[in-house]
Amino acid sequence: MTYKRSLTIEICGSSGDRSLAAGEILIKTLSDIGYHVISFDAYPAEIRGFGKTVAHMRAGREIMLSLSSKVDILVSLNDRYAIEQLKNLNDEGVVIFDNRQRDITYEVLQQDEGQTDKHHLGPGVYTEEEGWKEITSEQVSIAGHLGPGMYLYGVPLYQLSQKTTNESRSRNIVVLGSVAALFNIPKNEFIGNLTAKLGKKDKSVDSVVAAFEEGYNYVRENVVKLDPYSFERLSVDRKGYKLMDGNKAVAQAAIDAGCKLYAGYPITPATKIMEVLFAELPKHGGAVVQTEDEISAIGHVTGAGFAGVRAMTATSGPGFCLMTEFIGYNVMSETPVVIVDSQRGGPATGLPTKTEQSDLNHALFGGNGDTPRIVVAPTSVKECYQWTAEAFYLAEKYQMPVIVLIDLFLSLSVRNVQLDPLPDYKKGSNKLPSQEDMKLYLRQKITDDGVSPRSLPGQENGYQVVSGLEQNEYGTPVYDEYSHTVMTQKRFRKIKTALDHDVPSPERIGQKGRVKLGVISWGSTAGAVADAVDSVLKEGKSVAMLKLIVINPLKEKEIQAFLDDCEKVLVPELNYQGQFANWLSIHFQQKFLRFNKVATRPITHDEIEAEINRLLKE
Amino acid sequence: MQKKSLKYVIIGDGHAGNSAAETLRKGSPGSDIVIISTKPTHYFDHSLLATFLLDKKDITSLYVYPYTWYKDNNIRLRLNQTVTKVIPDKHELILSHNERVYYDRLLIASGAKPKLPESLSRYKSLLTVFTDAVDAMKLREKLGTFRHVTMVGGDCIGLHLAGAMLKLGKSVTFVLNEYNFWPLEFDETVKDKLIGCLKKKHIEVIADDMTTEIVKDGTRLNVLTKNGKIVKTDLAFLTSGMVPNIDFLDGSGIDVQTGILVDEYMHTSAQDIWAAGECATVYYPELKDYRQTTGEVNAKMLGNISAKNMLDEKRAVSLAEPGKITIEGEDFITYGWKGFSIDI
Repeated sequence: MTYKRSLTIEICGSSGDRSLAAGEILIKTLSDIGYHVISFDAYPAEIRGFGKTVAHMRAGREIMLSLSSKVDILVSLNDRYAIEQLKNLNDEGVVIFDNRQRDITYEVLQQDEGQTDKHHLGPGVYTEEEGWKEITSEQVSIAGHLGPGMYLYGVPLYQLSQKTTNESRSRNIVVLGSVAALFNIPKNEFIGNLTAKLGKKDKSVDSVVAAFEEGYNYVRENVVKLDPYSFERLSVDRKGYKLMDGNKAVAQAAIDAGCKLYAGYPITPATKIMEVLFAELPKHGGAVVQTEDEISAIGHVTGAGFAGVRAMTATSGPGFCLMTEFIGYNVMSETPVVIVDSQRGGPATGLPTKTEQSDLNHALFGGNGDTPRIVVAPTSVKECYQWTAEAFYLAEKYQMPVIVLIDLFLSLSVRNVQLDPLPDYKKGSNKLPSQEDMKLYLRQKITDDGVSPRSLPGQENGYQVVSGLEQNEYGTPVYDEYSHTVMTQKRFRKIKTALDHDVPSPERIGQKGRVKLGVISWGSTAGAVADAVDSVLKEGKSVAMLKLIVINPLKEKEIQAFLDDCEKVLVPELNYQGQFANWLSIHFQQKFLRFNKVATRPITHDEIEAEINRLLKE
Repeated sequence: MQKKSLKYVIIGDGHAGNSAAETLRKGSPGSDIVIISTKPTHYFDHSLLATFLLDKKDITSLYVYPYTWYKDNNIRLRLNQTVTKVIPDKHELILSHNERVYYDRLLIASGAKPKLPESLSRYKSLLTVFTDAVDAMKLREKLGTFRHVTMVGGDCIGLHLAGAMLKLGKSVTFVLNEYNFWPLEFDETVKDKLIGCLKKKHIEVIADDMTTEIVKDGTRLNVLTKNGKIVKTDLAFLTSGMVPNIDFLDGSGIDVQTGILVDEYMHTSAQDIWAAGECATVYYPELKDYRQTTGEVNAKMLGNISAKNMLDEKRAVSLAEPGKITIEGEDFITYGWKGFSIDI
């Protein structure tokens, strides 16, 4: 790679142009030749039909934890949609487009033919918002919309696709060949990944490879490269690295942590967790149940947790709402469950394909009564693995629900990660009753750490009553003041024990000691903050960040020490209310500066960097 | 000053096109101005092309304006896009990617391309051209692969290139035909003076002859002349002058001879279309005749005059002062070229 620390690439098309498939192959290839990668695709909410689809990826020599607002290379498989992406293209960015499209105006007319209203005749476009609008080919061709410093490269994608595969749908493959040639990406790696992806289901792999070669050769023979960007192979060892998204990391962690039951109901963006486990969990002695709804899913998981089996469900905001009653039930019955909530835009059905961090209040407070629960929020794909596995350990050890709060960005963001093997002790953390305990078994025995020894079904003399009612030490339903008080204290004591024994100190990054500005971050936004802080530190600015993964319970002492070091504290997050800042405000007498967005996309490092710089100037 | 905001489209990103764009912007601040160019590179200074071969500078070092100039002046630049057809009746251009571009007023400033003598057309693939920034970039990449070059024909660009080749330690041969050296005012006296100067530079000159054949000889070339000479060389440059680049006007109905015929106001035979620079054959009232124009000086002047007329200011052309190039202390008169010399 030349000139820049990292390059951001977008492949933009309409649904059906297979731009995401092209992006998948490209990012795999860049990873294979030694680059750190991070990707995040944007696609319409509808499963089928028209709409803009963008494969978005960033690749660089150093580890990157976030996306850039600005794009360096924009590949257009559909000019009308790609024109909208130009606003994100760097002033000296590259555009690759189809320079031998069928007559552009004619294509618009083709869409027109479906209309019966005679007013719809003539070149134009119909949208629900604006009705029928006349449109010229100048408006729909990207070639006339570039800034003066941008580089435009034309490749006859449609023609070459037709020539090699007799259909236009292979334009995405032709363009990959062109990208390989333009940016010096080794061809063989590309073809290997291409055939690996298509080999399973496409018998005409040879013609697809031919489409790739046509795109490659066309550029080599016809295009004069003027831009400074390239991706030559890096001589680094990437053995042990895996390319995966957050969903895959969660699923892999579940398998490695010994999960034996997954129950769930499909919902964007968490569905892939179930898809991966459907294929893999049975190989490890587990089972997957697709339930009729989310209530049933958490019911299944609760049953498995009661039976002593590690179990998990994954959902998104709307499904998480349905599970709320069971959270309270799991708290009261002290049943271990792992609930993964991949947040999307809300409330209600909200924005199914857009990211947000707005379920935090629900994760922390959802449910009736005093319901202690552990909430963890991984900040990267690697941490999705680490902290999902940790969630099983914590849920089992402290006999309570553990909520793993990720979001659509983490769920779908692909990165190359090196996973650390799980320590054996993390694979079984049940506090089982001793022989002494079994002489007179007390399911809800009052203990110093709050954790009562738990018998498993079938254990001799280990009978217990399980319900959502308050109970005494025997587990018998009771309604008296004393029992409710000591049992509530016991349930909260477990949180304190977990805090003292199993919650690591939050990681501080950046300048040590006193700083002008501190940034506290959680969840996927922490990646953007880390990249931004890294950048401003290189400029000599007085900044530090604190990354929190365990959101409840909070390491108050360590956080307070950080706050004491900061003249000002910024809390960026992807929700309107500043839910995390509010959570911190409950615990600390401190004014938190907020940076809130409900932008439907992740906060980028340059946005945070701009905010840091603005605050430092104040 | 025009009241109505128009869309001005300029075909060509050279001296004439940019000069016109600048004038149009000053004269019509609210109008749309679009420059369309087949070349992927920005408007560059031809006189720097040869020196570009001698250093490691970035290609942007050739550019006359930084791209921000276009941004600041709100001039839309459409590089690497080729106009394939002009339809005057519809006020429309068709680009090679099938886009139709509307204009209110059009300036054709598409410049010139290397002249390929008909007798050498079948050897086109063996000839190297050196007329723009991309040619210079490509040539710089392979400087280490050759030692001897031959200039097929004579023109000022060849002279300039020869200067760079000498500096790089290459040996140079010119094969001049007996009739012209583009775009010098060329007669027997000038010819003898020129040959003398080139020889002083240790350049081999084959005069009063012409290239008839080019043959591959392994990795090298043999350039054969009418008088039976064989020049063994590594690269044969096409340096026989330039001709207007107007192929895309076929079928447009616009009158052309060597170039696009324009009146003294730079207007073509088609409504709302003007032409300027090396693609235009201009009527000069002083001459009462048409003349093919060449060179940066003319192009800038004619681009400016065209723009004034496009803005409805009636401005007629007048002949520019001849330019000159100097070799070994000797001056040679040219039509509008400046900044070119073998002494780089």
